[in-house]
Amino acid sequence: MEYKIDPRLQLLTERMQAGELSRREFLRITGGFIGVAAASSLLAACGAASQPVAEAPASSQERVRLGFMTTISGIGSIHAPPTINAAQLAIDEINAAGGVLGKQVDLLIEDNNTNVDIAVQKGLKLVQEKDVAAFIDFGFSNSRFAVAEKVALANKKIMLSPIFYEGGICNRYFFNISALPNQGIDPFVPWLMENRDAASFYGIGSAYAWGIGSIDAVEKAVGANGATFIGREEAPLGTTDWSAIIQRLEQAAPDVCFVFVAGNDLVTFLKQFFDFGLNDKVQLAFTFFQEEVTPTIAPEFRAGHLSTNTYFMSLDSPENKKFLQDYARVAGQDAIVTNFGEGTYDAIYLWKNACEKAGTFETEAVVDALEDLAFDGPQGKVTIDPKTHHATVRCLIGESTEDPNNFNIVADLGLIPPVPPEACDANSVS
Amino acid sequence: MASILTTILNGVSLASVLILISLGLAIIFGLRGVINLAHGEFFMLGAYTVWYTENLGLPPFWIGLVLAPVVTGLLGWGIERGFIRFLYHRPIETLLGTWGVSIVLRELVRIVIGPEHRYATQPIVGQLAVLGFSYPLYRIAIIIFTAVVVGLVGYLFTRTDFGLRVQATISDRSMTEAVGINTSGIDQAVFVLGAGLAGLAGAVMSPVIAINPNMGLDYFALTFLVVIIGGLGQLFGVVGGGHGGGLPKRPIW
Repeated sequence: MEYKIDPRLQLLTERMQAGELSRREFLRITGGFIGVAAASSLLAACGAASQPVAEAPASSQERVRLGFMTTISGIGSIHAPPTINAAQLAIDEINAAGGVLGKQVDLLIEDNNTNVDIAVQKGLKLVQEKDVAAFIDFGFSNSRFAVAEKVALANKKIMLSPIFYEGGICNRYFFNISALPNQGIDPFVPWLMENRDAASFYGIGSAYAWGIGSIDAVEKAVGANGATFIGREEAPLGTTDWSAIIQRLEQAAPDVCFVFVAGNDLVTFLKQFFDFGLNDKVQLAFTFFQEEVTPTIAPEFRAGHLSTNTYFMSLDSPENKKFLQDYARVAGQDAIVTNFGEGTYDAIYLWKNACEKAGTFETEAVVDALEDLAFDGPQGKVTIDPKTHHATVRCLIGESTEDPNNFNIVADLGLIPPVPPEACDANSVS
Repeated sequence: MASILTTILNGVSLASVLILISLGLAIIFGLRGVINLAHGEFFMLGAYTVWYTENLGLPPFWIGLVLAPVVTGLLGWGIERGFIRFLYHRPIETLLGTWGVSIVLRELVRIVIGPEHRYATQPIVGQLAVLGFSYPLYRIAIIIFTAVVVGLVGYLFTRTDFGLRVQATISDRSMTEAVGINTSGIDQAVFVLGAGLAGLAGAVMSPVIAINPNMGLDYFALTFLVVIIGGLGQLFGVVGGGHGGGLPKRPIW
């Protein structure tokens, strides 16, 4: 293996040679640095042992690496298993069919801890050390921004993001394979007004980019449709006591409350929401009340919540039936899959098809090939918009039932092209 | 009126949880001057015990509630015997030592049980409704339970033989030893009690929060504040500190 000097260490060496640092100072700093580096590599080694890495020993001539970061631990841990299973399914299928451009694909899975710093670190490891051809990043909005900027853009590597977000990332190497607010929230609000007689709205979210940006989108949509937006609440990630917020929600008494509470916090919030007996008083609306969240809720509270999404397991189509059958083979009979898993599956296939269209794994050519590329996924046709590098996706509205996996699809609003909240010309940022 | 009552109850229920966790921290500090930075991890392990017994198919929650303080108490005893007793004469090192223990426990849970969040079934659901005012029964149960535990601990330390021995040990260790009281035994008993109380708090909270390896950290900062507000070494200061920390937090945030 080639020995690489850490750029920070190199900088110090240069400063010392330029006479800015005394030898003593240099030794002190590097000594500490090496200690920390040794400790962290030890920890990283421990961590690596617990993660599934589908990496077969073969020369890099016949194999190509695809990176995959997901939220195995941390606040997003509830979402990770379906994404890993779906990624594994896509890779198995592709390898069984001869790989991509004749090369077998190795999927390198990393845990981003649902944490900004670790996501960037792991992302850099994938693109710099592991030399992946491209990578899928399943992370929360806080880390997505950082990874898109510092990993994808800085290293000119393709990043595919299979998780809906509030918009705002615009660069040549970032591809969003999921919904923006205009593909979920915007049509959902008038639908609620028309079909559920909703006149007043409330928003509760986690206090970071996604929660705040999504409530902004709701507020705008509510205003545009002439309904009343009563109020909003933002709570930091990791909030364990929601009683004060729930109390204020009860007093505000809106017809519909939009909930953008992230990951495991959502489960804590819902437990306390039901515990306070608000279930009969307020209609909850989400963009991700889905198959992995429902089983954590007591059966008597499961039914009747509305969520917009690009995919539900209960979607009735031949493509989805086949997908679910194949998925069960990889993940087990009772395993659930979510729009996150489905999005990961689509993202991997889009990358594969783009490589084949370009005839190479070379980043710039694959980026060009991805533009305007379409893939018939389980949700339907997913097409990448050449200008914004966001995808046209399906918009479904599902109502939860007592059966945790069965969302009753009450509306299919079809394929909606992406409109980022701010104008975006992806190729102008590279 | 109802909303004021709800606000107060919200504050009291949060305060109760903080009191329940802080009690063990205060007890251990009171006796040996050890600030146990691994206290949050005992809390976490208490919650995991409930989840684990539920997964074994045992009647949910109640068995876990009984087992949690036993499991964490035993673990606390092991850590006291195997590690902390060697540091009693070096109080600053106990900070570093117990911090190390907390990291080890957290990472062990992450490796052995996994980093995913877990959920326990809530044993009491529904609300208490009186005259147009309603409040979750489980939160009321937490408030009552904490009051009972604080009462029992208070009784133990002020009205029993054991309490007298602990008090004697605190005020003059060598004199206490001279009259034939096993002060090392007292140390162990108090450490077990403190760890057990943290485990009990974790078990009580397990149904309403997400159980994960880092949950101890979420609470530890708050508990620490509670103990400081209440006065280090003041057992019942914890009650005041808990309410001082829990009550204002609600309306402000």
